[in-house]
Amino acid sequence: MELQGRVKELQAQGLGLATISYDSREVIAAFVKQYGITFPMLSDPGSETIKRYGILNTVAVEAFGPNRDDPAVKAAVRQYVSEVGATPNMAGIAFPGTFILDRQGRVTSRLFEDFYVERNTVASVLKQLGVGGESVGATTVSTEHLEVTTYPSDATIAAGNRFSVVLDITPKRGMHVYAPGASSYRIVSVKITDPPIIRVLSPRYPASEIYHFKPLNERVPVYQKPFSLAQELVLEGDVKSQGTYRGKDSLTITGTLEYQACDDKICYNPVSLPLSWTVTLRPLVFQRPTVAR
Amino acid sequence: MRRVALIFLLVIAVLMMVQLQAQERTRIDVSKLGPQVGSRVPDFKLSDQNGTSRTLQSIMGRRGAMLVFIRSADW
Repeated sequence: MELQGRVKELQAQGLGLATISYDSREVIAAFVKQYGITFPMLSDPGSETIKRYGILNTVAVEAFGPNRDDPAVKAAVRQYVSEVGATPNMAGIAFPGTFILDRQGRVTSRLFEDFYVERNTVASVLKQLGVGGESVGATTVSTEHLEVTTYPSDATIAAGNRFSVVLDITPKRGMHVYAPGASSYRIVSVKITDPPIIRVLSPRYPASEIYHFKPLNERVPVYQKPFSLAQELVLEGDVKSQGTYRGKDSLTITGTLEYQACDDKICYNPVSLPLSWTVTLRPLVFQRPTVAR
Repeated sequence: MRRVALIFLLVIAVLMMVQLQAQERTRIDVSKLGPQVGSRVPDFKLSDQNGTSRTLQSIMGRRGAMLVFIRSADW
């Protein structure tokens, strides 16, 4: 679990760490033993605390309700419950998310972003929250239309891991870029060009806003405030793919940020902004904890 | 006869409303769920892996804590 690797960093920041899940103490104890977890993982078997926090995952129940065939429900299941679909025993889980609290238990920041999946983005959570983000290499690039700070969600990855490249994009004053749904403009996206052993998962976008472009009396979905894209990637873990990176310490991924920017008068040419990310490679086998059932 | 037809129409209308309600679904906005920035989170008393009872206070570091809700340690 990536959180374990963050314990020292959090301690240095003066922050305690705990997780809460609906698992029984036995399941948690097995997980802790298997992965050498040193921080408290709390068991909330009846989901009472999860409910009191108001973050009970309703999608896990909807997956078996009257709307189970609704495409929106199916998409929500993939997003908030499990990539492989829900099973009835998943009812009672929380919406995955993180709170940073002060000594009095007041929320100083929180992250419940749609597309942030806890298991692969602890680093980016910390970075976004301004906590010890130095361990992942962030690059900031400025163009005439926007500023982008980009970093991999995890400093270290292993075969078969899912991780993200995160792009925090701030359009310059008066500028907007195009969100999915806009036709005849280049929609903002991340393209991965190399290496081929990186599989690109379907992108997820934050909510956009409708922009009224007066010269053409057009209404188009755009981003004009700072927004983040997290493009999920998988480092292929099959034997053949592993052969291409076995023995290497690091992996450099190259790609581009594709976008088109306009202000209230001019639409600029589409841009392909070259970017690269370097991650450390680690041999790792990640298994499900073995619990006597 | 007209009255029967009217009742029949009414029944259809009610059925359609029920159907619509069943299909209506509010989009989830996770950013609105749970305690927001500035508010105090509820305290708790939960067992950790060793069976030790933990509260908000007991997980605190000197400046605060990071509390992570994970889906499951099992799948």
